[in-house]
Amino acid sequence: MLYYKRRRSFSLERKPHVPEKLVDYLLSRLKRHILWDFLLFFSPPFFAVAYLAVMYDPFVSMIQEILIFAGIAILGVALLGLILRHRLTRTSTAAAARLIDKRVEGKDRFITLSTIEPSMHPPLFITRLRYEAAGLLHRMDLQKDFPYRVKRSFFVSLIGSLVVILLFYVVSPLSFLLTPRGQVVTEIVHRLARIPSITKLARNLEVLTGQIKKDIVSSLEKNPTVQKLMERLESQTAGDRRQEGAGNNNRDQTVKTRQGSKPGQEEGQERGSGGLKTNLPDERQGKGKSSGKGDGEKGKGELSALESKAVQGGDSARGEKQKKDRAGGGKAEGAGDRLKGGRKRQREQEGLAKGETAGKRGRPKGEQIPRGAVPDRFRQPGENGKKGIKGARFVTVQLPEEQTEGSGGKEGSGRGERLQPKIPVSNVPLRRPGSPGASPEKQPLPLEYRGLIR
Amino acid sequence: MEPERYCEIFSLLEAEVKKVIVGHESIIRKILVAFFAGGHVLLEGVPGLGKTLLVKSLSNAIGLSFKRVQFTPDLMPSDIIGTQVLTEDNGQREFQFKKGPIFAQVVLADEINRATPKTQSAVLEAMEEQQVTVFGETFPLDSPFMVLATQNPVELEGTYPLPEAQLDRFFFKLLVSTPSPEELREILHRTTGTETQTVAHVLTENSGNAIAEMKLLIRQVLMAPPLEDYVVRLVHATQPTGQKEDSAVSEVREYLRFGSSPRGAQALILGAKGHALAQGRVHVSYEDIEAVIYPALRHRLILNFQADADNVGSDQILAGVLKKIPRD
Repeated sequence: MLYYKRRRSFSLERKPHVPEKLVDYLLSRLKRHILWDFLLFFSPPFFAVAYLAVMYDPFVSMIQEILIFAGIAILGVALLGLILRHRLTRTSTAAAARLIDKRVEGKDRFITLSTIEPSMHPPLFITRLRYEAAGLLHRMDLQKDFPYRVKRSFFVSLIGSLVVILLFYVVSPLSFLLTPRGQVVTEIVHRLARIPSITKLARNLEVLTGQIKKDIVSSLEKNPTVQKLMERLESQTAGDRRQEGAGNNNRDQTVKTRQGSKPGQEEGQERGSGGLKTNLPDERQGKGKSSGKGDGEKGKGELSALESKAVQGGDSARGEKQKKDRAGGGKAEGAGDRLKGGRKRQREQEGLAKGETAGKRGRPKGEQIPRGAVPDRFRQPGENGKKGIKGARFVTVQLPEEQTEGSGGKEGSGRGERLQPKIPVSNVPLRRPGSPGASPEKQPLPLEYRGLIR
Repeated sequence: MEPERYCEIFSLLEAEVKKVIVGHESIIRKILVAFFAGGHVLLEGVPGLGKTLLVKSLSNAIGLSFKRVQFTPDLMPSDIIGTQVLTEDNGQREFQFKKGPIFAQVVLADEINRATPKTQSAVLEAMEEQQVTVFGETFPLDSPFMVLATQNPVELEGTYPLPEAQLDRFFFKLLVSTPSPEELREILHRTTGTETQTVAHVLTENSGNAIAEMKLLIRQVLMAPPLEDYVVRLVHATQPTGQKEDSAVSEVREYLRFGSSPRGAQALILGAKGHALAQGRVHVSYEDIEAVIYPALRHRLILNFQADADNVGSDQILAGVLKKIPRD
């Protein structure tokens, strides 16, 4: 009763005496109605989600996360909808005024009053219209004429939410399929432990669970282990590379040393009717290998001896060193130090050889034994790539031609002088037929093919 | 002038005309609304319905000069406007302008569609500009000035239908219908007895000023922006082209060649204001708009052949427009 009186007095106090105010009151009331509509529409699904998140089996963490996400989404959508709706209803003063006109049979007096600009019209007309509208105010009570009524949308929302909750309870047994077994067992163990009569059983189960967990390594636990292994692998690979670099240097040095020291020994071979010479010693055995054939058999065994000498003079045997390098990456540095001494000596030898070559023989560049990357045409079947191929080999075809002048008498006389085959050069002019020293052929052949045809 | 005084005069005028005219309350009211809004009215109806009497009674009640012109095919423009006449005064001859019937304040152009277009167009300048030009000399017409034209919808042989441009100059087009049995009995009672009714002057003194004030008052009537918007939407809905598929009225698209001009919207708003003021309100309501939409727009819609074939009139199309276009 007291509440009714208080409410009635409030209603009378709030009752406007200016018709425009009535429109404003109605507008704010309608906005509140909209707010209630939204709250009532979105609260059932929100509470349903919250209920499921709290009351549903809490150990199913995945479903809980989904539910929390759904709850946040519902709240977000509700807020967004409320803002949009509120903005849209801001311009509906005319609609509120039209409602009042309809209720009090105002013949559009309220809509006119609430929408026209008073300063633009005769004050007499405005006053008269306001007076007429004020006379209609008694026909209206905002709370009675515009009460809040629960909309159909609320009931739809409520029923939908209840259906969702029921569905969750129906479908809940399926959730065990989604849950990891270890987790389920742990949960059961915890539950059992609370019951005093079966505590022992719970302990046994806990032990079993521990064993299961040991076997099952989660992906999170796996990751650091895998990373450690990867780091180890990388460091090992880096060590191998360093070893390989040292080995290459060693090999180059050996080749250079051999070039400088073996001309005497190779003479016999080169004097023969030809043969194949390779720069590829058998690295694993630590000794040079000559594949000389034909008449030059003489130099076959001597070459390996020379090579071993050269290696003794500069470095230790390459094969042995590489074996050591492979055994441990840390030893590579020591090998490098040893190589330094050999390199110095080799540089001295090279300097001597260069000086003599430039001054005495003037050997053309094309006659030198090619070094560096091996051309593709000399690659054996099955060999790979261009660069950095270990054991790449080249073959020089030794033609049975005359030796260059001056080189014969000085064979083995000094370091760096070697017996070099005369390699035909394409820019040597041919002698005219009939002139002394001209070739007997009638049709001159390219120099490149002469030796071969002979 | 105050709105109450307007209502009083309006009611008195209605009452005086009703003394002579039985029925046709709506037509009387709309003629008065058009008069105070400064427009001209086209009355369409079969002969013998009291159109001429209505106009004559109205002019008498208002206390304005009245002239009636019976339009015939041989009627010349000079017969309406006037002409230069050679006159002799004191032995001197000179041309003097002889004013035609158009120089009255209320002109009844009876059966206007029987005159040739040349004669019809002679009335155009007078209707729109309230002035006439004869031999290069312009003569202003008296104010207030109103043309009430009638036309017969059945006897169309030997007639010249009014061009659209001229039709657009009429504020309202009112259809005079046949009286109901009760009305007919009353008509017979009044006209066949010995007793005759006469119309008294309502505005006796300084009627010109009073009418001017009433005309101004109509324009001051309040009209809310949503109602103006409604008028705009209604008039725009009569356009058969340039509308969205979902908002277009099917009758408009099917039966109209051209929709209403902006003059139609002006007539609609002024007519609604006059209608509201006649009912004692200082503001326009949706009802006022809907009350005057038919007389204000029906002659401004130009129908196509399909409408003629299907016997569809402007009123049916306007009913469709009112149905389709919502108030808010």
